[in-house]
Amino acid sequence: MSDITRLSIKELSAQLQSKAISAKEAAQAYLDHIEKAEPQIGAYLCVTHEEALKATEDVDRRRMTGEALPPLSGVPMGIKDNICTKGIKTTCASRILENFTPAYNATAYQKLLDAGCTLLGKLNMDEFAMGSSTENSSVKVTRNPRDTSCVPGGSSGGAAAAVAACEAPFTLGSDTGGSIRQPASFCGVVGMKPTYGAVSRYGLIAFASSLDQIGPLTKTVEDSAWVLNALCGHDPKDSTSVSRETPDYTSELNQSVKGLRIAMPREFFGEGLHASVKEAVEKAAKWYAAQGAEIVDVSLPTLKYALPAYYVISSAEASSNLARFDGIRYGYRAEEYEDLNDLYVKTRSQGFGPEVKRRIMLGTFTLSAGYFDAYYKKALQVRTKIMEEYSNIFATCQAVLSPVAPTTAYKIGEKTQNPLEMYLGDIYTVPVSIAGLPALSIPCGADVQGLPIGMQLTGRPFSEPLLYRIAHAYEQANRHAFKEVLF
Amino acid sequence: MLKDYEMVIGLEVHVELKTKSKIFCSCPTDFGAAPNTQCCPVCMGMPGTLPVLNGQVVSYAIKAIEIVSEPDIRSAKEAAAYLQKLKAVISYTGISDCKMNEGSLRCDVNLSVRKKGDATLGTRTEMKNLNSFQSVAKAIEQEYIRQVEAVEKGEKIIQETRRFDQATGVDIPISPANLARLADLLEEGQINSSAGKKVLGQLWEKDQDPEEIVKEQGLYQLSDTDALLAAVRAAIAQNPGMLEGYKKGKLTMAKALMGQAMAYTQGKANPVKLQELLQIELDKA
Repeated sequence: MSDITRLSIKELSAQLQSKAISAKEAAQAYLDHIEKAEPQIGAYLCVTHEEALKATEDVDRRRMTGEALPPLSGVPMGIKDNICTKGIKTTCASRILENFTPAYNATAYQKLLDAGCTLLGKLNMDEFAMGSSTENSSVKVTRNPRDTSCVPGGSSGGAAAAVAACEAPFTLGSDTGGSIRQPASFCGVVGMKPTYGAVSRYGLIAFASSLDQIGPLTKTVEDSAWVLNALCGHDPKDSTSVSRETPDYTSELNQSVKGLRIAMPREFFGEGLHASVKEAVEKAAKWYAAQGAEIVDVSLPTLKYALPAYYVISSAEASSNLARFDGIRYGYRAEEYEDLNDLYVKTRSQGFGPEVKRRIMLGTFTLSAGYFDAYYKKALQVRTKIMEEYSNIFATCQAVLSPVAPTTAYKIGEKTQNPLEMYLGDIYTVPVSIAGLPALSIPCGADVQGLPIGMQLTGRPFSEPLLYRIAHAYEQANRHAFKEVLF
Repeated sequence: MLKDYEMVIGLEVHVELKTKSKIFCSCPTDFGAAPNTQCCPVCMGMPGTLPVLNGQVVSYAIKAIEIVSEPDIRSAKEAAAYLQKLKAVISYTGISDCKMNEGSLRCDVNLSVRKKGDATLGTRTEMKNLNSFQSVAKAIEQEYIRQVEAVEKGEKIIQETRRFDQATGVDIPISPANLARLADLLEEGQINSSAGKKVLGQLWEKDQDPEEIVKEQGLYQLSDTDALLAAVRAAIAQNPGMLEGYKKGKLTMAKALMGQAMAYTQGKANPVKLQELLQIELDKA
């Protein structure tokens, strides 16, 4: 493996700025490594060789003229395949969009292009971001770089695996109920789900609009802050993007955690949590206590209803969002059909995979007359209650510490027969999504097989700089070694 | 006779607000611009796009407003006076340019007649497609006379929507029965959709049994296998270039040949059957 691909964004940026390496060399190093690693990992759905090398020419030319460039200039990246990239296929790993090439760029992607980043390719995912293992991709399986017999998590499994396998210095994923945080945890990388409204959703192919949020996956906490600096900000094209001044996300990185009150809701440490995960998170809590932070025992009693409420709300929104895929204007169309209705039915039957169909049916059912009050309305009430309970915790504490997922990465195929068991893996990430809060997943240990364990730090809305401070302090003092696949 | 009756009129006025852009994106809304020049990923509903409510619309609350009067108007003059006043008020506020000929102000007339002194309302008809104040007045006068004459003759007024023809100044309805018959002809596969469009156009001109039009003009769908096969073979024989292209993998050529074959039947072929036969012939070729 080339040394270049081992570097953090910060280190790579320093080398680019000092002209020790060119943007083209950086991109080439990654492209070479991708070629070597992909047969074992399968993180990418497409690799944009030519575009990547061409984009670097502009960066290198400008750098040679002495122009002051933004810190991410020349830094390569991978993008989850549900984020629209103009002229480059964006498929959501679904048959129904297998030939869809957007005519416009997602705002988040455009902002990174403006910052000088180079696109290496588009990343595998669970179809339409529905899933927790990337096994719902209609295209291929992605393997966990820590153990290729294991899943990388999901739905941003390609995005997490690419960073863990050094196939990109950073990637963009999307998180609806844990889709950035859980794969980050399974692959041993840093995943940030920003506050709902912090990053524009324009160009992110919608799954559940009240929950979806784009965020970065990186090797380090500081790298995550760097990417967020380029990513956040108000976008007039997304009415839910918040109009507020974007802070410098690196500003609090070197401040101490002393005196902070960190809450641990006891419901997050109950039945179903794997012993090794529990132990690792509790050990991290002890470390924080030793640094002068106060660990506070709190309660989030509605946690047990978060998962059903999440699946009702997200499926309801999905059934509406996915109604547009009718085979008429774009995407896959059934080849043979009798009339218009038959065209819709055949296109959708053939174009969507089983998990997507399951959620469309679930969502359509819960929104139907007679069931709306019992399911959807009730789920919204749970949502309000959970927000209140978080709000109570944040009245006296600055952050919540919990596991990201109940287990470490499991074997490929282990849970595909039982969707409900797969859903249970989202138990600790969905309450945060429902409440629209920012949360960061960082490695905090390894299980006996050497598979990474992640911890989740959740904060008040727009408290990302503080979350980075808390995570950075831990990361600097605690290094964890994971099992690794060599290429 | 007319003096024994009074007309009862209610007006529905639709006013399109003068926003520079569409309601959910920033595309312009200029009247008469070339087709497909005022659209973007958002209004095309492309994946990943999000609707953003037009700021101007928010301040006006909505994109179009509908102003519905009570059935309080008793003459064409009153109706015209009401509309003129309404237009003056709206124009003055600047929220719409109120151009009836461009459709930014539209008016539907609901009209019924009753004997003077009667408390109950008669059956009303609705008139659409009125694009000037003059035509509103003219349509009211004519519909009033038509209804009074009908009532005098003991006929029942049917609740229906009538279209006012700008050129001739007369209004013609398509009776629900004839419209239903047309739908049946399509459903039963007796005619294809292009014949259906033709017949509908003629029903606007004269309300009559659609089946008669189909008979008179020979619009029945052609499903006879021999006749269709002849058309397919003629199309292939006359267009060797298309066949060649198809064989080389240009699949769009199959569509072009389908169009040619359809033309041989004057557009009357059963498209599903024609397609099947064409595919069989192409596979053989």
